[in-house]
Amino acid sequence: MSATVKALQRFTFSIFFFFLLLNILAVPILISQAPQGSIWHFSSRLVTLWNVLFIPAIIFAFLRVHLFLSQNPKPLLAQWVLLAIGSLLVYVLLVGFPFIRLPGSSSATIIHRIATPNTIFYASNKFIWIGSSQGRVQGPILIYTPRHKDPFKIYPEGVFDPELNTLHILQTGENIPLYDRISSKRPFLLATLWSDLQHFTQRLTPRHPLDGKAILSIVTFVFLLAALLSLMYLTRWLLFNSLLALSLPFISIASIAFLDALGGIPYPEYLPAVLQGGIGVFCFALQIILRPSGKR
Amino acid sequence: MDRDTRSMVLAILGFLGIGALYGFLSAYFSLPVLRVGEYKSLWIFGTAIETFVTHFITLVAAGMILATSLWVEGASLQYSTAEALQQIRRLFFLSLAIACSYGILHEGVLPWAVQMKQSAIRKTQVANELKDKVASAERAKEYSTARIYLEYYLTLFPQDDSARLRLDKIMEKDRKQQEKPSTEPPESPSILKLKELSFQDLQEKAKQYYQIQDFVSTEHFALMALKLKPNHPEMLRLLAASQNALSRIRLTPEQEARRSLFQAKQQGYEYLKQGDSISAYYHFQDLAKQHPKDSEIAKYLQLAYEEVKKKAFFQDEISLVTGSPLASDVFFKNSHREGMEEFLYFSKIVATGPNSYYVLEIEGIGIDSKGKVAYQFKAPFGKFVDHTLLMHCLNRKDPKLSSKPTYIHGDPPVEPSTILPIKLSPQDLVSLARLIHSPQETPFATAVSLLEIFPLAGIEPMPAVHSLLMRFQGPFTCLNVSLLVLILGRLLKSKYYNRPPVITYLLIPFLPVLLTIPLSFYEYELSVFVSILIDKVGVGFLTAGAILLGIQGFILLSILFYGVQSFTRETP
Repeated sequence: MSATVKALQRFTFSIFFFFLLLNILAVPILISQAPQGSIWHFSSRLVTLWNVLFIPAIIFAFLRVHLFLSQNPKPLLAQWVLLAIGSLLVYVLLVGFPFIRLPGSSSATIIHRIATPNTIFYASNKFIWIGSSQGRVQGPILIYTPRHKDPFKIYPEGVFDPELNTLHILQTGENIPLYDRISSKRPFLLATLWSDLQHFTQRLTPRHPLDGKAILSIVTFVFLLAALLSLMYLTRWLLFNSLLALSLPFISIASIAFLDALGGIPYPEYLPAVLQGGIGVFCFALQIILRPSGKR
Repeated sequence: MDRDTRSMVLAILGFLGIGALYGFLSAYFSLPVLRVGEYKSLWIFGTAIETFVTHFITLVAAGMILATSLWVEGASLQYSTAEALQQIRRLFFLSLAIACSYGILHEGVLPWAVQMKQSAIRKTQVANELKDKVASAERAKEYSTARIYLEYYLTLFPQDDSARLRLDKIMEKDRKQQEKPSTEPPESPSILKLKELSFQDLQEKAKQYYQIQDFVSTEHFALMALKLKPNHPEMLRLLAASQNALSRIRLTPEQEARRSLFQAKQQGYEYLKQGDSISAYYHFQDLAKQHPKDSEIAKYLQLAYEEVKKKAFFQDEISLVTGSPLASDVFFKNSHREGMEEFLYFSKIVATGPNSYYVLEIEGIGIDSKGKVAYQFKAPFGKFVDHTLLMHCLNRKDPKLSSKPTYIHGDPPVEPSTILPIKLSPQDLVSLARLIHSPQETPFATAVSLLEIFPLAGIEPMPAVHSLLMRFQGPFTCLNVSLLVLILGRLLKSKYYNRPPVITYLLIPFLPVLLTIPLSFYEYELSVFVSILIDKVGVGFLTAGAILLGIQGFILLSILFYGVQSFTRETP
């Protein structure tokens, strides 16, 4: 019983810790997308990301608890308790998060300016110079494209979009990507992981409090996480077990995103839930075979 | 070295070896044949080293976590605080050694490898462009221009026999087109030794020729003397007397020729006096071909040449260029006149010597305060002379083949339009272009010293500062990551008494891939943080560096604390 209580304590602390850590890590990214001179603009946007950030937080929390439970000879009770509490927590938070909104300033009312006025910068293989950067609409804009037939282009006005990190030329509608102006392009693997997480969270979020499909998805997802304990007994090499246990939920999330992205191929509506539940059942069955007691 | 350290070093070396092999193989299979042309091996070598150094931290981390979790011996983690600190200290010094090695690789080897890679691309790009230019110049029957480009191409690819044959043909066509073979170079040493004649010398010569009744020579020297002292009575008298005599006598063909020659010399002298040194140069050059032994013509040709060098240069100077361009795609703000912004683009900056810098393909634009184009021009060649860019490129033989800036819009902002004042030196522009397009090529200390040039060129320094700060924090990231993986490896250690089952070794190839994800996230976070510091908060290089150092120090302390805390408790 005390092991279950300890596991619960660890679980609660871990969720809080990882959720906080992910929030801290998200802050610089959001500030970098915020308008110039208003770095606190990120706070209202951060809240909207809480539901997505919560998913990896709960995965890491389960993994940390499993590292503890793997030392315990009778972890089953703790697993079932964690399944119940975890499912409830995910359901409540995913239902509740959309209602939390900070009265942040609207992006449209804030001036987004780029670069220091009157300086040349290099992005998208072009040299760009913006004369004045005082208002929302900036100009004149001089663009020089080397080795182009007509290399000099001058436009009267343009608008900077910090989220897409592009310079939108009002006269032509052309969007010039500026991500390589200061090279902080999101790494490909991370960008893919983030979009998969966003997609998965959207699938998991209940449309209304009694959304059966979402509830089933939540329960099967948490069931999968709780069942990952069995992988901790797979070998006596903890690093191997931990990495396998960590990668499985992310592979499952990526698979669901991949299935949805395929679009053209019809598949049963509950297939993602069945996939997660199936892996969970398989892992639980494995746990019976790989009995923890007396192995170490 | 104890057994544990040896296992760890072997594991790290194993991963580094595999990483180097991967670098070479991936470079070989991703070889952009068209972009690197003849320089394939240079590109492969440079790219392989670049890939290896870029993935160094991941490879080391993979080796470390594998060794500590699988091979390093040790009892369960139930150390006392003192023992834990001792363990951590050992791991810390190992990580520090790895971080130092990374710093040396990153700042010592990587710039060299990137230079090698970029050089292959640049040289091929230049070769392809030169070939295109030769073809288009040949189509336009501008054989002297085609010859310059092809000669430059042959300095890059001396073994290209087909180009050599083509050059011979072009030179033959050029000769036929001009039909004015030159026998003497204008600046031969004999010409340089000549001294200018004074008024007294000219006066003396006029008198001597008058005494022997050589009126043609008298007229010439009297006229020359009068150029120096226009109202000199004796010379006026001698001129009138000689011209009077010439009008009365019938000149022999020889005398007629001499008189024409003197008149031609005077015409050239007039050009010089009016400041039209370019016309004077061509005029005296023609005369020198007809009268190669005339020291006076040689003297004035030399004078004209000295004047020409101040306002123009010759096409064949560019043909002396060897090697790849020093910089490509240089774009900067040149001057800030009242209500006017001038921007210049140089396609390439090349050099023929330590202080002889030339520009290939110049484009310029002036924008007024309303954002309208005030003027726009293009020029094929330019030469740097004392903070000016000379854009009048002369063909030694035919003035018609010379090139000048072409104004597409508006009128030249300054006269003469062929001489453009330039704020920055060519050396600064070369360094600036390299730092913008390939910052890794520039050594760290040089790059830091170059930061002050950015405002002068009207270029945003943030990307360069960002790149430098990321380079600065590289060894610290290596230290933190190495230490963290050593601690994690120790925490997630294998509990096999012997070797684990073979199936578990399947993880080994995936380890670097799996480690790439958190590591790229760590670097991305730092990169974003640096962007905020310099772009949003607006702090300078040194302040941002200090803040970054503080953050990395905080992370290091957290890892050390986590390590000690984990090593002193029973369960992970």
